[in-house]
Amino acid sequence: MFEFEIKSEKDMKMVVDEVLSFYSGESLILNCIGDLGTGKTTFTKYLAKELGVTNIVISPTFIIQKEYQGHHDQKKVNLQHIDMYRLVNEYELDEIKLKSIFKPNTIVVIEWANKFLDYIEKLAIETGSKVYYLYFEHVDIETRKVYLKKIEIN
Amino acid sequence: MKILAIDTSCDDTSVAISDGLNILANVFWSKMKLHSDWGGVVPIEAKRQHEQFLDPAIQECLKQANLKLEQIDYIAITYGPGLAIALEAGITKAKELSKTYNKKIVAVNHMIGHVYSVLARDNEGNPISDLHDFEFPLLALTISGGHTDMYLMTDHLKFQNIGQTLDDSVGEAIDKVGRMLGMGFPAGAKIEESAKKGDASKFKFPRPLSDSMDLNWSFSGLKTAVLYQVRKIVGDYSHKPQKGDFKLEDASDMLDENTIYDISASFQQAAIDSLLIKVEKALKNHKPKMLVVGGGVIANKTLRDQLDTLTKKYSTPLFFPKPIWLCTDNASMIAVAGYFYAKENRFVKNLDELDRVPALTI
Repeated sequence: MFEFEIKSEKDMKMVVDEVLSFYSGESLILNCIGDLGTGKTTFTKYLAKELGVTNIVISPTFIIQKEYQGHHDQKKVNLQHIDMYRLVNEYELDEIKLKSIFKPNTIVVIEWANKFLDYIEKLAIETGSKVYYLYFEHVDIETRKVYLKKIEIN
Repeated sequence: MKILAIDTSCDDTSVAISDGLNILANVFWSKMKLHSDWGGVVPIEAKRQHEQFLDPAIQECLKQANLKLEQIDYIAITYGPGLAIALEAGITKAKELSKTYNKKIVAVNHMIGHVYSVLARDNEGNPISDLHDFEFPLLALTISGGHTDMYLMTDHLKFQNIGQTLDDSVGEAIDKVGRMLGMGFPAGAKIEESAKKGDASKFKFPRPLSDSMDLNWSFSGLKTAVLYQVRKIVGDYSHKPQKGDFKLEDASDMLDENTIYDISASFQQAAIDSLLIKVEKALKNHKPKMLVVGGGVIANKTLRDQLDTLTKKYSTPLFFPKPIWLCTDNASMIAVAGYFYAKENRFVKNLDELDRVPALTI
């Protein structure tokens, strides 16, 4: 378990660096768990920046899923940004074709993943994806804590 | 030119028929009430509703307009932005009608529809929102659950994006704060109602990015500031989110009525100020001939009044869709925008290439 203290937005880069430190093009799922305003979307912004994505990353709460093109180690990386805040039932995940985006050269950030952890883990095993857990916590108005857990579930 | 328009971008099924800019019929089917229990739109339910109600809605529209499908010239369909599977339901229906009746399709951007909603006229040709035509350069502001964008229009359908939110849309911030205050979904009308009884100067909430030179917004920090204020009052009410736990932020049980009113008023004013600061910058920098505002958030009367005061200061005429149904998602605006698409010959050339674009931008 890695622990990061986030004093300013820029500190989020430390988390991103650790997430990407051993990344080499596998299917990677980042389960982001934490209350409103703890930095889940901010983390995704910094991840996108590190992957060279030029678009502005905005909250996907409204449209649920957004896709960006980036690169890492001279290889193309597809960044998928998903927000499960509005989803209720597992069959909705079938409908957004979650399984089809768990594939090599793809990093899938899932905000509010805590709502469907069993489902995500099951698909991760089926698709041979790596799963990391990121827990976001409020400390005080300026400070957040992020815990990163890397699990090889396969 | 008679246009049949369909919009299934989110949870409202809407079909309209227009003759040029004149709206002959507009039918809605909304299941909003069923969604409000837990605080959002259920996409799969929205899709089922669209599939179930599109046919009866089209029939009802034709009946109201006293027309047959054969008499329709073109079909206008929303292809984005919106919920992927909801958009798909409408597109599938439009393609089916296009093939069966041999009608050309215009694929309309939902956000362009919001801008054009102000040009809708009633069935006798009177402008519903008191605007006959656009004058350029025109400043367009689109504010809704998924968008907070500003555009400079130099001609019909010619948009230049000059500002946008960098994180949450203003509508999203309103809905999330509404959830903290136990107002359900959507929260806009309830926040405004509650704000009327409150003191807007009671709590000091930030106006993020107000000092920045650009025309961008940020509403995520405002939302978080409200969350902290609520926590300060009630003590830390959150716990680590658990699986299946959706209601962790609702603190309304622990707040007294007056506090809810004051938070609503202070938050609403911070959100309005944030919008107005950048609109004022745009009025100064671009000196538009008029300001047009579209999208569900302009249903807020306090915002309308304050925009009115601001634009008067710059002698810039302000237009927004007057009736609430024209502010929120509707097919009439798709028909109106579709009319301009058709005039410019922007038809879908190959039906197989017409596909939903959930993250479509202007």
